[in-house]
Amino acid sequence: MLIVENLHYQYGAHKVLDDISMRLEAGQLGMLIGQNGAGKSTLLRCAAGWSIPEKGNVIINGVDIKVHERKFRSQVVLVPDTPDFYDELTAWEHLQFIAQLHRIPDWPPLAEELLTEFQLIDQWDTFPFTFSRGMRYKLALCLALMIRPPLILLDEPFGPLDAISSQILWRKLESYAADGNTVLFSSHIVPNDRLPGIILHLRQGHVERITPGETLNLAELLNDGEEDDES
Amino acid sequence: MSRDLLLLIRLEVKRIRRSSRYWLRLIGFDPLNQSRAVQVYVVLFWMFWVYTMWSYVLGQVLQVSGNLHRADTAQVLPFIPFIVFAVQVVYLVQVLREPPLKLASGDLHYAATAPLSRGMIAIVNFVVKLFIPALALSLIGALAAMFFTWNADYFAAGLIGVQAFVVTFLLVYASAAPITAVGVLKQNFAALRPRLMFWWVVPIFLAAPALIPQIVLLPGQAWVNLLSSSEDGQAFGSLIAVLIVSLVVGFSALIAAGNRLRMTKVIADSQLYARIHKLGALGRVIAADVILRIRRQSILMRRRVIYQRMPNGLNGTAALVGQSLVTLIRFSPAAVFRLFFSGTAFVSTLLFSVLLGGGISLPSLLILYVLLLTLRPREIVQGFRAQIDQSYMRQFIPETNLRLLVASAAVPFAIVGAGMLIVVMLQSWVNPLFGAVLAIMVLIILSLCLALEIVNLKKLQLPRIAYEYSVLASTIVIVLVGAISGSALGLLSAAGIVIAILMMLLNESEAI
Repeated sequence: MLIVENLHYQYGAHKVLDDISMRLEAGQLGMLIGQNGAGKSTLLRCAAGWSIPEKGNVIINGVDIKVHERKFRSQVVLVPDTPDFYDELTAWEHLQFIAQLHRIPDWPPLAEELLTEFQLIDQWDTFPFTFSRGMRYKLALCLALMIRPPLILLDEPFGPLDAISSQILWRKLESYAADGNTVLFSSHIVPNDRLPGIILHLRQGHVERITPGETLNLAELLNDGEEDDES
Repeated sequence: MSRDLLLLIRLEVKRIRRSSRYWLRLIGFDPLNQSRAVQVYVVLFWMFWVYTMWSYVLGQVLQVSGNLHRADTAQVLPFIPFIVFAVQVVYLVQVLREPPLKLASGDLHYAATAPLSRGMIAIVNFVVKLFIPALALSLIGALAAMFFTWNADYFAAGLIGVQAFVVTFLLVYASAAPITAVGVLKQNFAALRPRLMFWWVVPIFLAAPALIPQIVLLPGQAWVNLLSSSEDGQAFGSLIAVLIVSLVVGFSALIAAGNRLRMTKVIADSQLYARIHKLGALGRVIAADVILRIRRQSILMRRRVIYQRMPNGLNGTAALVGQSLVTLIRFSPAAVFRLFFSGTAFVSTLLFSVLLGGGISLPSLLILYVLLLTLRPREIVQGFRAQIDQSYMRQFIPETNLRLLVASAAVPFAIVGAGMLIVVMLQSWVNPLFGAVLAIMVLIILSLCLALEIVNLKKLQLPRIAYEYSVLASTIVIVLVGAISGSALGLLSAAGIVIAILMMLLNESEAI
C-alpha cells in the first residue's frame, strides 16, 4: 500500500508538486498521467525515496522513509526511464548478484523464466551497456520482478518497448497486482488502449483521481483537463 | 594529390585557429570582444609567465649541472642511444596496440567519406597529432643538451641548446614516421591481434641493439655526437641534411602505407576516439571518469570470452565483495598489480615525508597534509562510486553507505594495504608497527573522505563535504593532538577518533 501525504517538491522557484496526497491499496494497478513536465517522474522519485521532498510524507506498507529508511527501501523498486547497470557484469550476472544479495533460494530457474518471458534469454551473457533502450528496460523489469517488492513504480514503461513486449509487460503487471502487490506507472500510452482501474492525473502540481468511462482516449483525457483550466 | 594536401592543410589551419581561440579565451584573451590594450596586456602577461617558467626550469637544470663534474655527467651519455631506442620501442608498441590513424568527428563525417588521398589524410593527421609531443620532447632535448655541456663550456651551451632543439624536433618526426607507417599497415589487417604483434615484433625489436647496434642506436648516437661537435657547423649541417632525408623517406613510407588504408576500417577504429575527442581538451580532463568508463566499455565490448564469473555461494554482503572482485579482475588483471604498487608508492611517500620532517613534528605533519591532498586513493573507492552513481542498482542493495563502502572497497583496500605493509616492514626509518598502523589508518581516513565527497548528507542537514575540507579537518585534529601529546599513541588515538567521526557521517548519509 502506498500513501502520499501533502507532498511538496520544487526545483528552485518552480513548484512541481504542490500539496499532493494520494493512496493506492495493495492489489491495485495505478496509472499516472500528465503532460510533459507535469512532475510525474518527480512524484515517482519521491515515492521511491530517490528525491527528498520539501514537505510531506511517503508511507509504504506503514513504513515511513524518515523513520526506517532501510526497511522503506526494501518495500519499493523504481524502474526509471533509462536504468543504468554495472559495466562489468553481464545480464545474467546482474540477476545473480541481486538474487545472492537478497538471499533468494534456487534463483536460477526464476532468472531464466524472467529472461525468457522478456525475450532476453539469447542475450543472457551479454553486457547490458550494449543493449538497446528497450532491452535495458526489460532487464530492469526482470531485476525488479526478481525480488518481488510490495510496490513497483515504473516511469514510462511502454515508451521503449515494442508492441509484443508491451503486451507481455501489461499482463505481468496485472498479475503482479492481482498477487496483492501495488503497481504505479507513469505513461502516455497503454497497450491496446487498456486502461487500469485507477488513473491519477497530475497537472499544475496537483493530482486528481479519474475513473475512466467509456472513452479510453488518453489524449482526450489530458486535453479535457487543460480545457478546464483555460475555461 | 597536392590539391588534397592543400585542402587538408586548410582544414587543419581552421581547426587550429578555432582551438587556439578556445585556449586563448581560457587564459583570459578574447580576440573578438576585448580592446587592443587588454589584448596586449594579456599577451605580455603570458609571455612573461612563459619566460619566467622557462628561466626557472633552465636555472635549476644549469645549477645542478654546475654542481656536477663533467666526468659524472659524461657517464650518462652512453645510455642516451638506448633511451632514445626505448622511446621508439614504446611508440612502436603503442601503434601496434592502438590504430595510429584515428579521426575526430568532423573528419569522420566529411574527410573520410570524401574522395581524398588516404595517404595525405594519414600524413596530415600524423604531423598535427605529433606536433605538441615533438615540441615537448625538443624542449627536454634542449635542456638535456645544456645540462651535459654547461659545466664544460658556458658559452657553447646556449648554441648547443638551440641545435639540440632543432635536431630533437626533426629526430622525433623522422623516427616516428616509419614506425607509424608500420602501424598504419597493421591497421588494415584486423586479423593481426595486438597481443600477437606484441609477443613477436617487440622481442625482435628489443634484440636489435645487440644484433645491429650501428643501425638501431644511430638516432640516439647522432644526438650524443651533436654535443661534442657543436662548434663544427659543417657537422651540424650534415646531421640536419641526413635528418631531412630520413624525414622525406619516413613521410613517403607513411604516405604509401596510408594510400593502402581501407577507410571503412579507419572509420570503425575512430568511433571511440571521436566520442572522446568531442569533449575537448579541457572536457577530457574534467570528465576523466566518463572517459574511463567509455574506454572500459570499449575494452569489454571487444572481449570474445568473458573471464572470471561471479562466484556462486556468496550471499548477502559477501555478494558485494564478490562483485567488487569480478569488477576489478574482469576489466584488467593488471589492475591488481597497479593497486599493489600504488600501495607501495603511497606509503613510501608518506614515510619519506615523515623522515624529511624529522619524525612526528609539526613540519612533517604539514608536509603530510599537502601530500594527502594530492594522493587521492581513487581506486579504492571506485567500486563504491559506481554503486552510488547508479541509483537504479543502488536501490537493490539493502545496506547503509558505510557497509557498502566496506564491502565494495575490501578487495582493493586489501591489495593496496598489502603493498603498504611490505614497504613498512622493509624500511628502517620508522618503527614498523607504528608505521604500519599509521599508514593503514591514513588510508582508511582518505578512503572515508573520498567516500564522503560522493554521498548526500541532507538528513544531517549538511552539504556535500569536499575531499580537501574533510582531509584538512582530519589533519588539523591529528596534528593538534599529535603535537600536544608528542607521542605516537596520541597521534594514533587522534586518527582513531577521526575515523570514528567519518564513519558516523557516512553511516548517516542517504543511500540514494
